[in-house]
Order: sequence, then structure tokens, then C-alpha cells
Amino acid sequence: MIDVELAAFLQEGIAIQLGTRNDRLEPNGVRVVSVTVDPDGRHLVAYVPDAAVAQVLPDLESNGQAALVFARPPDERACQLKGTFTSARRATEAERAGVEAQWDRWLDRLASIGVARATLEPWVTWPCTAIRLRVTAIFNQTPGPNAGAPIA
Amino acid sequence: MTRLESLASCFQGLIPATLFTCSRAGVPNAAFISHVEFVDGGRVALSFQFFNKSKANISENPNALVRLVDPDTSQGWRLRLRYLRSETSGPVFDRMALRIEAIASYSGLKGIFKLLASDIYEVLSVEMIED
Repeated sequence: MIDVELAAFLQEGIAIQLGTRNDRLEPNGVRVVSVTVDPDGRHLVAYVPDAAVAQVLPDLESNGQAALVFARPPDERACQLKGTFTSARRATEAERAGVEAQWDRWLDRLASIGVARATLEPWVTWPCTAIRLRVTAIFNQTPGPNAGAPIA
Repeated sequence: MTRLESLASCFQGLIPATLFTCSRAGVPNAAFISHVEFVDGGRVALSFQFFNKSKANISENPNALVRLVDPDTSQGWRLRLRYLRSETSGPVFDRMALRIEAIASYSGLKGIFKLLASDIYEVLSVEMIED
């Protein structure tokens, strides 16, 4: 479902947000520090700062519905993954370097388009909760006439 | 509640906001949006540029959430919203159309970004983001 090229895009260090909803159909959302795509291309792990995870984890544990949006300035390439929750755990120290390296590439990208690293450096990147999702659908979200079209 | 007026920097559009919605069937949606417009102390407007899932969701479930970032302080804010109506003319629409044209121009998306309507939302709460 997530091929090699798309996996590289998702993990290269771009803007990522995770959306959920509660049982009253009210949406919730958090910033994601980084993701790792499983080799099977059907699952991924989203790393969400512990400081914010309470915004979405109760929703995920209650109904399992998730949406992840990815966007890369300056070319505005974007996509959205729909998924279902499979598990959550405390991210380990062994994962920390990879998580922070991906976030660091995101700050470099922002700097390249004129957003100073200092603007986002105060944001929390660790400790994180590792939220594992099963990907159920992928949609193009790049602005333009093909936005919303299924990718896989 | 934090006053919307105090978030003026967030409405400059320097850092894209994120819009979260949910279908009536319970499927969440997340999308980056180019601009959030301050309307008054109790309302904001979001740009409607394409018929997309966010728009479809709002038409069947008016609940929405927007995450904004203040580019001066790096502080994030969460606005819980309820969709009221769409406007295709008037001062809010005219202001947003100019802003969208400017964003399209500097992001190389002229001809792709075009304002179709200003979607007006009631702001139910303003919350400081934890992280």
C-alpha cells in the first residue's frame, strides 16, 4: 500500500499532523514529530509528544479512527493516510535519535524557505508516545485538480 | 477564554494552520490550510478553495478544530469551531480573496489557489497547545 517512494516522502522530514475524533464526532488533532513506515507498507508508527498525546489517545482507544496528513513545502506535495489504531506504547531511547533526526530535517526544510529554526525549536520533540496504525487508504492532497484522488 | 483578538499574529498566515473535521460516519480528516481570517471576537473564516473532504465533512457535521501557530512566540493554539455559513461576497470574502491571491503568487500556485467562498465559523473555545 505504501510503496518505497511514498515511504521515503513520508519519512523525509515534513509537516505531519494526526487527526482523530471523539464519540460526539468532535475532531481532535496533534502535531506528529516523525513517522516510520513498517516494511510491509501497511502499518506505520507516528511519534507524538507525550505532552500532547492525551488529546488523541482516548479517541484512538475508543473508536480507532485516524487521519494523518503530510505536506512538504515549498512544492506543496501533500497526502493523507486514513488508518485504524492498533497500539500505543512509550517510545524507547533507542528510537530517539531517529525521531529527532527526522524532526531536524523538517526544521532544515523550513529554514530553507525562510522560517527560522528558532521559531520551532522550542517545540517539544521528546519524550514521545509511539502510536501504531494500520493504513486503510491513501489520498493525494497536493493542491490542485487531483486533490482528494485515491493513491492506494 | 483567551481573546481571539490577542492572537493577531496567528492570522498573518506565515505558518499554515491545520483543519480537522469528521464525517457523519465518523471518519476524521486533517488538512493544512493556507489562511485563517479573524472576523470578530467570536468568529473566524476559513478559505474554501476546492471541493474537498473538509468541505464535505463540514456540510454534514459542523464540528471543526483548527491548530494555529503564533510565528512571533512559537506558541500553538487550538480553536474549537462550529460552522455557521459560507459567504461569496462582502468585506470578509474580499479580504480573503486578496490574501489568497497573494499566497498563491508567492507560493507559485497562481491559477490553482482561488477563493470560492469564505466559510464562517463560531469559535467555541481557544486553548493553548501543550507541546
